[in-house]
Amino acid sequence: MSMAAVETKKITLRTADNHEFEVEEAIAMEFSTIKTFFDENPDASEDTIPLPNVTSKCLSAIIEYCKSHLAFRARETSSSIDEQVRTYDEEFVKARDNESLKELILAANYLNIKALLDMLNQAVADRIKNKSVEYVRRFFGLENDYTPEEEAAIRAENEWAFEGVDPDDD
Amino acid sequence: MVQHHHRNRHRQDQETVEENKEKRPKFFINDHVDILVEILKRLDGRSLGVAACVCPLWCTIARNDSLWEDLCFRHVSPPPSSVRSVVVALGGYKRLYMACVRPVLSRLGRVRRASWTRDEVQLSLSLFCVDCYERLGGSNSSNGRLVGELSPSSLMFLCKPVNV
Repeated sequence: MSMAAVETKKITLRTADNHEFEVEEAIAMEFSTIKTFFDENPDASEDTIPLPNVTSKCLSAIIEYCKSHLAFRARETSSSIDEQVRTYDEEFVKARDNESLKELILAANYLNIKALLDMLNQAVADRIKNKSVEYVRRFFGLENDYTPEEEAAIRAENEWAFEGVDPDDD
Repeated sequence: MVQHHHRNRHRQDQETVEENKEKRPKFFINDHVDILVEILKRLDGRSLGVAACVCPLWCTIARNDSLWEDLCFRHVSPPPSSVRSVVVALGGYKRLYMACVRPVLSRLGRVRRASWTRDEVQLSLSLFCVDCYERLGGSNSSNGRLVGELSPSSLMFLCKPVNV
């Protein structure tokens, strides 16, 4: 057996805006979509994998997330590691505006990265918790397609939910 | 001169069409119901009630009982097993939440705690059985009582928030 160091296999990903990212195989395998592809095509020698639904901005954030979480997992589990992971996740989300968050969810969903997706979904849920109906509609860019009668009826049915809603601060 | 004007207008129309495509949010949540469900699953009860008022699609999804099941036992670890068939038979998880879980939580006061104890879960499930039993009694309207009217001996007063 050769004593030479084995080079870690790298995989190239091309984003929707034609940027190429070279990542270690271990990181690419965090994307279940890609892992499945390689599982089903073990002899595939794809040089570059196109990701037409992911922008470079999203992909670089996602790669960073996966790298960090891989590093956390490589260390021994302990409550202090858990705390560090929680802090990392909080920071990851905190700085991002609502649009970026939604874009990341779409990308994480497409790439099928469960842990990231769960974390992002929780972050969005936290952002719309205790907010008004109008705030939630604005957050997601949704039209009100209730008729006035329907809307009155559904609000009456859920009257209990409207006590103590945060005033909109946007 | 006229031809030039027409060409400009055509270009403007094309630009408007492209602009409109840009304006439609890239991430339109209602196109991704699986993601929407995952987000709604993580809301508290009140926010779920608000969510039902957002639009008809959200209303339909918010009525899904499995969302309320998540809500009822989210902080219980391990979640009570094999109660689902009983709860569903007695009226479903949304009813459990509204009739029993929510009043118990509000009685516990404003102090928000991260997790439920088994006892709180058991109490809610017991109240839920009482609720169902009394609904059965009401619909038989013995003693000429109107359906839905509670007899003085009803235990459902336990579900009403108390002003202490």
